[in-house]
Amino acid sequence: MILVVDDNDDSLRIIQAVLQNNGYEVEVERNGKGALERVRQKTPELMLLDVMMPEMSGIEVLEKLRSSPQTSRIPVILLTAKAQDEDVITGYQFGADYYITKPFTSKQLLYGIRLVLGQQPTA
Amino acid sequence: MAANDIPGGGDRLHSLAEVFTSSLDPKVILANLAARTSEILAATRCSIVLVEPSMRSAKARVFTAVDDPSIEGYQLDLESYPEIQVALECGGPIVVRDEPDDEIATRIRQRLRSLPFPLSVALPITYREERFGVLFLRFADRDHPLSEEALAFSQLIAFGAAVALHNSREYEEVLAEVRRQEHQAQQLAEANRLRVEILSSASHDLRAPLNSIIGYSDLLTEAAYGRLTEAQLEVVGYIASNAQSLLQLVNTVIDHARLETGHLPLHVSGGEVAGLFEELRITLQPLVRRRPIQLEFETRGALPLVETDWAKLKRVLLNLLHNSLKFTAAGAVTLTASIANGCVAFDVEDTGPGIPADDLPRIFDWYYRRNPDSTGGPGGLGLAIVKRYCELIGARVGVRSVVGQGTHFTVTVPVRWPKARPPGEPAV
Repeated sequence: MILVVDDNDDSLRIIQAVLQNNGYEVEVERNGKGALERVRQKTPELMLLDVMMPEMSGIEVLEKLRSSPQTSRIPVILLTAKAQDEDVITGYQFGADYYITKPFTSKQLLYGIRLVLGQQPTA
Repeated sequence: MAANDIPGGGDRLHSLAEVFTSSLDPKVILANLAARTSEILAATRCSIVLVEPSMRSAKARVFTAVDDPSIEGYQLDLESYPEIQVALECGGPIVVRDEPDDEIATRIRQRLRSLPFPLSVALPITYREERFGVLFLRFADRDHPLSEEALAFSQLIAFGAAVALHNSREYEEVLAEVRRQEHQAQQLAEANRLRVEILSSASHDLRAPLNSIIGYSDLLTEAAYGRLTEAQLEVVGYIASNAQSLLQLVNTVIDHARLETGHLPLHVSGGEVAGLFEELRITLQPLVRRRPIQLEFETRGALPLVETDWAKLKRVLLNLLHNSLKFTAAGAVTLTASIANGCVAFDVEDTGPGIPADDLPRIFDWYYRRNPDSTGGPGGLGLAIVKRYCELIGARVGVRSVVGQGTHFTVTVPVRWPKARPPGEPAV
């Protein structure tokens, strides 16, 4: 299962459709708090985490994930709309596995997911 | 005037000269000057009275008073001191003696009944057109031998004081100008920082809808909502490629703003060229779909792991490829990577119209446009950004071009991060 966390409905809808069309099981959350509760119940294979979210940013969610032994090993791809180096650097510092800059094509998204999951990352 | 004509002789002249060179502070110079003058001329009182620019014309202030420091800072009403007033007005020395036919002495007597000192001298402290005040000497000895030489000497001292004040005022003006410019520079930097912040937030706001346009176009193309006709597919392809062009514009404007403010942290990591090529291929695919252009990626030989700032290298190659795709109507755009002399060379070649030899030296300049009439976005930024980013990551960029045949850019990236050089120092 891939858990997608994003406060933007369009973004969630698109990611969900692309992943389901490519045979992935997908669950979605609209905020960081909900995401943290969900991963405690069920460990996802991978998380797609938007950085810019109200209340709790993706970086904060990542920090909490990495600080708990139960969730510290979940692969995380950050989705950043700012494409600012600081975001990327901060993301890597807090243990992100990869980052994808918004906007992305479905091929870019699948490439990143396959790369992190250790699958053949062909376009 | 010879030194031995001066009361007290050459030694005292020498000691006076020392006063001028002893300090840079005009207050110290003026105080010492008054003390020495008083000593040399055997004056009972010696003070320097200054007219401050903010004062009303009938007022002056005692700046320093030898033997009577209690009156320092005291504001004088010039009507009570006609000798000072007249000296300031006429610009020459005024000597007042307690004699019946002395006109100024008469004026003083009218106000004060008697003269406080039988002999007083007011020497204007002036330099060019500036009137700073007077050197005011008073003598208790009615028979003081105030020679012509001593008077001339006093005038010289007053002139020295004027020069010291003039220099100090100029220095203050220069200092104020420097401070004003510093303040202005700070305000500019702050305005620039705000501009980058606004651009950055605007870019975020632009990216969200772009993400939806690109995402939904992809889903339509991939028949997520049912199979599209050939004509529909073509139109959706146009939407996707235009969205990519718009994204490139947004990125270019942001890169430009960040280069201007120097806000460019580096993130260096080891990585493979193959991964970068895949990312570039996926990003650029929508731009060549349904166009008579072959976009090819080639790798010559085995390439090592490369230590660089991959995000910036990606921006460099994306800008070059976008540039080639923009100018090439039909034919091929090829990116080739090969290893040579501890560097990976990236060659971007196209079969476009080429660049005239006269234009080649200027294509990396900010705001330089090959075709000034072109309306395709913020012209003259893409290649300038390429050059600045190459400098940041220690890479070199070169160009060859033949009109009618095409253009060939080469970016040479060191395999190992050039640690000896601080990041950001130009390498090109």
